[in-house]
Amino acid sequence: MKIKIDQISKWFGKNQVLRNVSMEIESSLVICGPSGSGKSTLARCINGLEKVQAGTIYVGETEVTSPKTNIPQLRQKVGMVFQAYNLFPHMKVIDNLMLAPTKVLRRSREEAYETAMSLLEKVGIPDKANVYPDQISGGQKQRAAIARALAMKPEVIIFDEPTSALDPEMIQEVLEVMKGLVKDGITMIVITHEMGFAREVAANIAFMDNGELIEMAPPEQFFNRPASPRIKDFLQKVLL
Amino acid sequence: MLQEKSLIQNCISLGIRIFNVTLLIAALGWGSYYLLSSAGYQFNFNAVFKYFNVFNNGLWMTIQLSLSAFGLSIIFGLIIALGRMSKIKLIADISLTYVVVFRNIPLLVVIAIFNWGIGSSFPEVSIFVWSILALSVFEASYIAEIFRGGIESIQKEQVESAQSLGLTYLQCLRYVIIPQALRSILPSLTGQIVTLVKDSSLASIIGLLELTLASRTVVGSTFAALESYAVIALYYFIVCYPISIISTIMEKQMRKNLQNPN
Ligand SMILES: Nc1ncnc2c1ncn2[C@@H]1O[C@H](COP(=O)(O)OP(=O)(O)OP(=O)(O)O)[C@@H](O)[C@H]1O
Ligand SMILES: [Mg+2]
Repeated sequence: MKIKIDQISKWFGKNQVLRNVSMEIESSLVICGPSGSGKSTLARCINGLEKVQAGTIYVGETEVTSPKTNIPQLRQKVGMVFQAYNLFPHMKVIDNLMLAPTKVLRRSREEAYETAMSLLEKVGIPDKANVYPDQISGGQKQRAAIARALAMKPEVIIFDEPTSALDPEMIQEVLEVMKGLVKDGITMIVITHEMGFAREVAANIAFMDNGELIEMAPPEQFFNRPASPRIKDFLQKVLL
Repeated sequence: MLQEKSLIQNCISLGIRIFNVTLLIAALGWGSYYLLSSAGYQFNFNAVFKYFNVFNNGLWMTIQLSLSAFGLSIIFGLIIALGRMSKIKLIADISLTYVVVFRNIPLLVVIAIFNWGIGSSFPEVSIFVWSILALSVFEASYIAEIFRGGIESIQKEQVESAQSLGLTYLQCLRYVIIPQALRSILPSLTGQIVTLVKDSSLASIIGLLELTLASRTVVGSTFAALESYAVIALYYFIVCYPISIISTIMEKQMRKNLQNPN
């Protein structure tokens, strides 16, 4: 699904955190940039967790920025995976996956269960279905959280630093699952500093600084001919 | 590693505690009986026991009143709690005013205002209904704050991830926030039920024939005040203590469910 962001600006109080950002996203986009540059805010505007003060965002035919839009309905198509996993601690992993399909999409429990189990297979933790989230490792939690988002069969999925809270040995297992999604043709927006991942799977890489979109380019161009010295500086730091 | 106690062990230790409490109460009762008798007080429990039915009917009324008021105060309390957290300032202010007002007025006065004040314009509404309304409106101000505390203890990220799955705010409340909040709320909520049952005795001032007023009528006919009030003290205790026990068990169970993989 195509996402069209047009001239959006956002302030938190007097602090402007997005400045006239415009971009079109069709397949997979990696967003990077220094801390506080507005990456999370931009991503959260796309599924309506944050409101913009100027500009428009379209997800497919739906205008996210219109007050008439049914935001919960939009979110059925736009999944989100957070840095801190945010699994529901009072539910088993399988129930985490089944909640939204049964309550929001009104699927039968049997159907939701089938889907949930096949997704747990896909992310490699079918044996953790009947376990509470605090019984599994960080990498497993993040894979469960990805499966939970996928259970809604979203057309867009947003990852906000999905591996930043993980121990190094668990990062790869999560990235592998995400690489699999690119092949499924889902639109992915990934905020990450994993440049190896970006080079391998991103159709485009966007660099943000101080609320501005500095550059958005395919990996080859982004890494070899960065448009701004700020990107060069940044790459040197993260590639160390 | 700390060894988790099994359910049976838990039940046994709880049973022993209840047994001990009961034993101590019996000892205390018997001790007072003995002391007062030797000081020359003539106990007349037989006169009181003739009014067994009056006490039981009173108890039944207390139970009906408490249950209805509790159900209503949960609903009012939840609405006020959500109102307190509303982004719309007017709603937040109105809800805050509600809480402040009812927390700073004695329940006795609230009951009087409902029955003799508002009630005078609606003579067809019974004192039972006024008692329920006064009690639930009053207790709701406490329950609202308990709910609000519980709901605010749930991380904002939990709400956001539920909403990101397409849940509406109400669904999020129902399936994600309340089940988690309930764990931290439960002890204070059961405490509030116990308070409510005891507070319901104040409905006696407007003439609702619940347990306390029942006891007063028995005193009127028998003059056996100590005996009558001892009987209802026991009644109140028998109703309230199990509520506390159930709460303790539920709390333990919930903590277990959270910790143990299945
Ligand atoms: N809820 C909020 N209220 C006020 N200011 C906020 C809020 N959320 C973010 N900000 C501010 O907006 C700016 C952009 O934050 P954002 O989280 O989007 O940055 P980021 O690029 O995701 O940073 P990081 O890499 O640290 O996650 C920061 O200056 C931040 O302090
Ligand atoms: Mg961020």
